[in-house]
Amino acid sequence: MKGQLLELALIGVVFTVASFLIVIIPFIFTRIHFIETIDAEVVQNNAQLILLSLLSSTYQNKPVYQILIEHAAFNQHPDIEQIMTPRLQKFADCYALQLGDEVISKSADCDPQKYTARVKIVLPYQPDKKVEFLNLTIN
Amino acid sequence: MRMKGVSMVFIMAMVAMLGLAISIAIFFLFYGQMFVIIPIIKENEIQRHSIILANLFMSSDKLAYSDGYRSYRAVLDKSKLDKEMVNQGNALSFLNIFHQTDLFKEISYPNSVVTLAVVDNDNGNSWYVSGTGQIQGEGTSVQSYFECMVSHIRLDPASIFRAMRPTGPPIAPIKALWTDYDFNACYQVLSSKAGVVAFQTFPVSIRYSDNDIHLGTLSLSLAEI
Repeated sequence: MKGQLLELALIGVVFTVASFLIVIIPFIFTRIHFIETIDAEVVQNNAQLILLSLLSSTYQNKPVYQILIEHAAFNQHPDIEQIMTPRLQKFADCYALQLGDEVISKSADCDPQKYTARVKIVLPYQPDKKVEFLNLTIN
Repeated sequence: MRMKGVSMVFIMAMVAMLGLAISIAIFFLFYGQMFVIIPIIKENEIQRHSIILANLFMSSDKLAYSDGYRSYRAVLDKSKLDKEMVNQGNALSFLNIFHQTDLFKEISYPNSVVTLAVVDNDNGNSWYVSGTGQIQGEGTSVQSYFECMVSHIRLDPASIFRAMRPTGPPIAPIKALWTDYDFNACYQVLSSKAGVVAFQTFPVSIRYSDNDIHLGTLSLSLAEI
């Protein structure tokens, strides 16, 4: 009889906890889905816009995309990190700008992984390699 | 034997009460969660609208730079910003801009209030405009808001001078044309019926000339009523 009572109590506890979870879990997942989806859309859109704005902008009357081309093709502009970093800092706290294998600028205390925007940079006078990829990753 | 029957009845009654309590708790939990989820769904929809709207504005012929063949997305033309939006240089003509800008006639959601601000991050220049989509129904809070703003405007030299100071965020100087009390009172007229408000900021570039293109941001606030 005692054993049966204990069993009954245990079933009662499991049933109660399960009932609460069944009610709660769909709401939690729905909420996470909505918040995460909109967040991903906004940040991915912003990563692309940051890259677009960066390439469209000028530095000392010279288009930034031209500076990047000259750096990739002819290894000019050794100060490219100093050119890019303040511009990126205007838009993102956690970022990494990579041209091919070279990391041009990266935020100091974080490692961005989440959202990447990518464009092809055309390289002039380079018969072996005609384009290089420019990647911007932000969190 | 009789005691055993009494205790069984007691246990059954306790279990029934516990079951009832759990059912009530689950009902209220469900009900409470529904009240959390429904605003999230509505908010999500307006956030999505604000993203779509901002992308349309930054690709629109009215704001984006065009070379005659195509518009450049997210490259805003300074001369078009001066024409379609209010800044320190044309603050005095802002009433015309509020009423006559084609920006919101072409691109907007019905029964919505849109505020658009563009800030040049390189030199601090800013542009601002606010307007509504097509309003369905007479005597809405939006109409009352604009009537309230127009009726309380101060056009004395000191207010105009403060409104034209090239400092602060775009709305800050223009706010000088109203007292804080009037500005907040008019906003109350609007916000009393405003639904969810979404606010988003997007990176853009601002084209002054071929060789002078600055980095900036476009902020959009959207309230659907």
